[in-house]
Amino acid sequence: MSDIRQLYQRIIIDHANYPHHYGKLACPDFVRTCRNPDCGDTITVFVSIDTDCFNELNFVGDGCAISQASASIMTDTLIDKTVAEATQLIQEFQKLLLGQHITTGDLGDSVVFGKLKQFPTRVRCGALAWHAVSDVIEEWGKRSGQQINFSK
Amino acid sequence: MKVLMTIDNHLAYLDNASTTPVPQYVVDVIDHYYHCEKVNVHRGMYKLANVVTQQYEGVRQKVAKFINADDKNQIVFTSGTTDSLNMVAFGYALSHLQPDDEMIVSVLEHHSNLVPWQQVAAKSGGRLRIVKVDGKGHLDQKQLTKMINRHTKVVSLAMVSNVLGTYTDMRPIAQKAHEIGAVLVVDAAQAVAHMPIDVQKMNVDFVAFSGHKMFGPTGVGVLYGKSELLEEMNPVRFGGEMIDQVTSRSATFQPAPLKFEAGTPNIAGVLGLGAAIDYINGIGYPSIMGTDHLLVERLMSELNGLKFVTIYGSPSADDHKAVVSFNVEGIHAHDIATILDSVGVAVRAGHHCAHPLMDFLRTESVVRASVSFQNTIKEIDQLVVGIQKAREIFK
Repeated sequence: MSDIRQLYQRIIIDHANYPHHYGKLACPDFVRTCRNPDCGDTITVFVSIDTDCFNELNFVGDGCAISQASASIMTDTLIDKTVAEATQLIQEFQKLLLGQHITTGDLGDSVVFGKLKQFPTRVRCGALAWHAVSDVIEEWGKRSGQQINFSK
Repeated sequence: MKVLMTIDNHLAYLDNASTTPVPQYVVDVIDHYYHCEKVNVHRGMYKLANVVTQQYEGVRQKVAKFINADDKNQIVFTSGTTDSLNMVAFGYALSHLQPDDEMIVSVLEHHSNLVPWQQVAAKSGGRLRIVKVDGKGHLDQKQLTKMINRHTKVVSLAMVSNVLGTYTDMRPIAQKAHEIGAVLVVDAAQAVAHMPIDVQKMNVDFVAFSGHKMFGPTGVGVLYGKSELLEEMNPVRFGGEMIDQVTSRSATFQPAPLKFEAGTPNIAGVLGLGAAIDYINGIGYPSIMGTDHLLVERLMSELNGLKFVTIYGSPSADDHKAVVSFNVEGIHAHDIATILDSVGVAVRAGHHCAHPLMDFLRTESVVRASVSFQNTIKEIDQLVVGIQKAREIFK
């Protein structure tokens, strides 16, 4: 077993205890809830996309430190990104969780979840918020007549 | 009898309510069947087929004695508790329920003793009613007494809660149910490894339990039913072995229990279940219950000493049959379970297939430590060390 502090790094604990961009948005363009039926963790994301830019991204949720911290750090990572950039970052994050090599440095603090691959039972916790945003991007694609599909 | 368990010996395994380890003896019996005797039951004309059929039917007799049923034909082999309860729901309840009839379960039921009845209610037009538990996790007997009325056809309750560990005495409930002509179904999955089950003394109508929660293999379980009820009950699976005579247009069925055992049964599983019963009988329930209690007492007194720990259900160790669920302030149950794993302690965290109970307890998930008699005080203490470590990490 890997050292447990590799998983529960300070930055994860801090985001779990004091999440960024936490709370509903008054008038979001998109709302998406993802739930992990095995453990009951839930994340709801509220997104405002102006033209093709993530103007606002908030979340509320219930669940473990990993799922909540991942959502919080994700909001920091994706706000002000274009949909195309966000799409790429989500794909990079998926690779990171699988332990694959990633090319971009734009994931910011989200790279901390690279350690999750050593804790396979917790990978889905880290992925939950990102799934919610990928659903939002697919929906945004539909509304704007583009086909965007994430492999899940 | 050798008490060599097959789960990693370095792991403090406190997830026995999920499934118990199997002793080497049980593995040996299953192994012997597959290596030396792997033939079918009830059909072959050769001697070995007869030998294995005798062993298989011998386990039926053994189960009957184990739960004090007076006839081995009251014992149906199933794939587990879920299968057993579904058989009663769809083979018995569905054909006995009229619109406006009622069924009763409690808020602490495992989904396996809730969802089948929801389905029966939807299909029959009947109504499913939910009895609450009190602050200590005991069934609200007053509410149950009020709830049982002339429309009640089925009452189905867990003997021991898989989350709170509380035990329900079925005798008075059986009496009330029988007064108005309802049947009492008992989910004994969580009870069977920890206390003797006496179907005659309880005077209940159906009892369901699983092999894998009583030191046996997965994929095998038992449904006990009173003879006249099994006779009335319809099979829900059809095919070979369960038939009497078949024409191209119709079929008649064997009497119980064979009419419920369509197809080739889980022979290895049944033989393993028989070995598990031998194993439990070899240790003896008085000894098992004594050790369970010592372990739970230690766990409760340690957890009660930690101000930041909330224990669900009763504060008394006596009310927890081998199961204690708790949460640590400010730390999610899954994080506790992962950190406990890092110190070599296996517990379950989550909703424990009991969503309505989680809602009732006003939580999403809990940490559950569940013991069996092979656990040690040292393993309990290791859990407490892990909780302290989690507190440090989350400081």
